[in-house]
Amino acid sequence: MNPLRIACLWFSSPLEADELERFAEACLRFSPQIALRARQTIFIEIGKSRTLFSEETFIQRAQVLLRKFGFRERNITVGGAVRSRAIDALLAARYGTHLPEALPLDALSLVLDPFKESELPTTEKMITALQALGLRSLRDFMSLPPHELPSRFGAEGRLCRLHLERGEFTWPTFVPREVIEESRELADDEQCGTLEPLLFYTKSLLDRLFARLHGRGLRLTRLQARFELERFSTVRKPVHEWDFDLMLPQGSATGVLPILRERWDRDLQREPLEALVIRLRFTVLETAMGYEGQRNFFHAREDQTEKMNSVASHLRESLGAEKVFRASLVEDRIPEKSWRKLEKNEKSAAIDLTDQIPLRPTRLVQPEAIQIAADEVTFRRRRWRIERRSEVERISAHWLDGLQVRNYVRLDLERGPSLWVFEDSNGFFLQGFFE
Amino acid sequence: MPKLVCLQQHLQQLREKIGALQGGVSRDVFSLPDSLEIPRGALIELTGDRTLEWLCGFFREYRALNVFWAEPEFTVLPTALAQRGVNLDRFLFAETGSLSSQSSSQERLFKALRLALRGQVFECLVAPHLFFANSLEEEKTLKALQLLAEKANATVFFIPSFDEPRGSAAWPIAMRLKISRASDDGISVTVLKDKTRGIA
Repeated sequence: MNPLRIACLWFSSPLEADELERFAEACLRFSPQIALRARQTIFIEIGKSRTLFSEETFIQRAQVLLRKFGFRERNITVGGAVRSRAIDALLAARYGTHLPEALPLDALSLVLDPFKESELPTTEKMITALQALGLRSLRDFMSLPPHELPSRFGAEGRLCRLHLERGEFTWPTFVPREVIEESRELADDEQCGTLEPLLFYTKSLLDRLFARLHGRGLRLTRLQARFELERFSTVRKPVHEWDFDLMLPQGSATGVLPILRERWDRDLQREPLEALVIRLRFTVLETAMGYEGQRNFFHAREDQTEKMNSVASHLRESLGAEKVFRASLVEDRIPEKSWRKLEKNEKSAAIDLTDQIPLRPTRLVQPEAIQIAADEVTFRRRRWRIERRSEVERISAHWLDGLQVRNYVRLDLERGPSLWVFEDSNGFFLQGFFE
Repeated sequence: MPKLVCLQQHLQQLREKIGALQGGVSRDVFSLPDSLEIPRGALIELTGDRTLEWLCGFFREYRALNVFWAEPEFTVLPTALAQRGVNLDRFLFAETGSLSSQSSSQERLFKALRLALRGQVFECLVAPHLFFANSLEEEKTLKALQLLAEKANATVFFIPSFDEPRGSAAWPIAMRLKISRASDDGISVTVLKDKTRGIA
């Protein structure tokens, strides 16, 4: 069994409601075993991940993550420590050491239960009583005879002693929130009413959003953006919403930002914001499974795929949803039905057409009426001399679609590309070119 | 600690082997049979009546290339590409829209190519010949594409259509190839222009 190595991060002031949970969600990238204490402390068991990263690497990566969540800008300092016991990690993160001689008696409130804040008023009374007796540190507390503790300080005194000696606790469960959402309130002096400031604030929000998605091993496929404007009587539309349905899953803010910029640039030119934005909110509507492999281990394939997904989604945003696509084959002899556009995140079907159907033309056009004489074909007001004809391929149509039986033939012209024509009851039609 | 050093050495060896497997392709040219070399990071114009057949052969040879195929009106048949051994998983197609005015349709096509080149993820791009109302604009557009292609180290193939068999022949085009049907039903390639070898 692997020894426990518990990392504890202690925030200098309580975080906003659910902020610690959001940060914990991003920390799921390190380990699935996470616990929270009130709104100020997070525990991560990293012992089982020691083959993936060292403690030094963990500290560096945690620092990057902390920067993404912008604690420094709000003057929130974070103490961190990695120890074998949760209680030692908590004490070290909070006071810089876990040695009893250096810890004040106030630390007993943490010792009572490292995963839960004590709600009992008696804890405070016990600490005051101990101080009145002249005790100064946890070492002094540990020197008291254990059998005298219950009679003087009740169950709490005994529990504190036991926890300091053994340090065994039941690890609580952490369940991340169902909805992944990031928002930010904007002050008047932030002057957020045009594209550039919007993108500036969006970047940090998306960074957090993607950190949380990464923690859960997910990638983004659909995102909702919402701007709330100042509520003046002149503002006709106080809320603007956009739904970004991405062609391929995205794993970083840098891939999504150009797509947002493209859409906002177009929409805000048509309909500028009537007032300053006071609140930005991004909600993840759909996700896809993330990468399974470790990035940049042997190659940079994951980064390449990420970049490709971003470019494809940007092209789709720019040209239109149906206009950018990947193709997959369909087992159908009718040429126009022999392939289809892939839905988003869909993998192409493995169909081998070798020797299954005769060679199809490289270009397929809408059927165009033509005239064929003995050795001449006339279309687009020009005549072409036929050099050679292929055998006829009869393609039976789908009776449901009301298509007729077609007899296809390839015509090699004396000059120019070969033609693919068919004949039905209405005459001859050109449908493709062998270019 | 010596174990860690040993592991790091093994890891380095593995990386080198993977690099050797992936790095079989030169960064400057695509080499083809008959000592034909297609430059990377350049604009290539194809003319003749067997251009797509030749392109299929090229993509069959270089199956791992990421290809962006853009047309104002989508006419290429993916089934035909797959029949000729092309790996469709590596292809991203775009229909840029054939608008009423030819210039705006060309602008949309140019925009799509520019976006794809800026992404620097596609090694090859295929598009029909670009035509603009005035030659200065056309040259400017092609020059912009050439610079982007060079930066992305991507090759842009301009292909003809039945109605537009010839391209612009503007100076940013690095290579012009005429691909036609040979007498034995094969494909014959004639180099009409190759800046790198001084054929103009």
